[in-house]
Amino acid sequence: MELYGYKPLKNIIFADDFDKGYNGWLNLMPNFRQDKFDYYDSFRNWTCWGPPMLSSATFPYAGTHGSMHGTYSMKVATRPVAGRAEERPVKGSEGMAIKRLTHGKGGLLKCEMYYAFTAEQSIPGIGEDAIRAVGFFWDTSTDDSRTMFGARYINSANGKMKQHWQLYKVDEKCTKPWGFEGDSAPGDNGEKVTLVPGIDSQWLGARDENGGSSGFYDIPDSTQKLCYNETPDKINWHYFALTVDLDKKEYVSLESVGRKWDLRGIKATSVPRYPRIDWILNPVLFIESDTSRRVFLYVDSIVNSWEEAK
Amino acid sequence: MKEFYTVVLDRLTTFNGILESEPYEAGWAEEAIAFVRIHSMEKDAKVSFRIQISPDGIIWADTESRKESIEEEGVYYSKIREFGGWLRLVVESEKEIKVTTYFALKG
Repeated sequence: MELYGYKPLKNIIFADDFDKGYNGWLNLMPNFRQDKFDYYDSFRNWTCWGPPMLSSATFPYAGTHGSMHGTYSMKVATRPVAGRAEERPVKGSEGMAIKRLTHGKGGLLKCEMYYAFTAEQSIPGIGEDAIRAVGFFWDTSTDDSRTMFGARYINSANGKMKQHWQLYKVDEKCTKPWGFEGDSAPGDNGEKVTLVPGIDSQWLGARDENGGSSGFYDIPDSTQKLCYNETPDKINWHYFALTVDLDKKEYVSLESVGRKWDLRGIKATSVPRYPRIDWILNPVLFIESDTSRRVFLYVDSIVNSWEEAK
Repeated sequence: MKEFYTVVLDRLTTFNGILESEPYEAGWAEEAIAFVRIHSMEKDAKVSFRIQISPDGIIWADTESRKESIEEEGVYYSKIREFGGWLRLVVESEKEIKVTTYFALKG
């Protein structure tokens, strides 16, 4: 794809324009048990996250909006359901798309994308407060640790607009349960594998009614009123960039439309190795609803790049 | 090469009554096959399913894709072409059944 509008690091890992297909993105699904074709009980509510689709961004009264670089973007949708902000997401209240790679380079890693979000034009009202959050994260690992780096725009919580940015990072002072019970994967030697604090903040962690969570760190001075147009069938493409340092396991910077935050010194949460998933680099996109109305994340294109740390 | 994508609509889902899938956008595709895999069913169950289309993913029209009177476990399908931009699958059974449903899209 053409990289105008992008500012990648020296080496491109992938550059996905959704006018050229799905590019390997699919929905994020739970693991199967080893003994039969079924999910662990702990995953019962996690089989309904909305899958990605190649969307023309077509609306009932406007017709086709198209994308920034052509006709198609990748759309990630929720179902028309939502839980309270202080509760964990209910079945289908998030949409999730993942791509799976490995890497072994370390250094700096950058994600850039052009994206938009809106609510389904199924009922009156512009639906700005129907979107709880949109976000991006990487699930990364080495041969001895696993680290999720990510940023989330918390838009609305229980109908109240919040509009600021958060990072994937565990509040280590929090003593409330992370919220996962049971197994998550087969162990190498039959041991139990579960999800510990720092893994999957998008649906785990102790949440509060203001959109906060023990799995997210509020970036200071990050209030930003992202353009949400005057009606849900007008979407505007926003620029997003997150840069992290894989060697130091810390954040470097977040850039959104006209603002940039220096995040150096903010450590991500790293946990011990998970069986078999050494050196993964899995980018994930997600959206969560705040009301019983479908909400949509559209990604026109997304670029990941890396370079050696200086 | 053509684009191809299989989306799983509802997986290992047990229900009775009507199971409407979430809307799926596929304006890029020229053809679609809806697969209904029936894992299990109550005695005397009779299953039907059909593909619906839509201009906007919100209001839905039936197509002539209906399959009905299915009385055995197994995998069943229905085909559609020239469907515009949106697809949805509707499965019906008065008795309880367990299904996994798909659209296989190509274009």
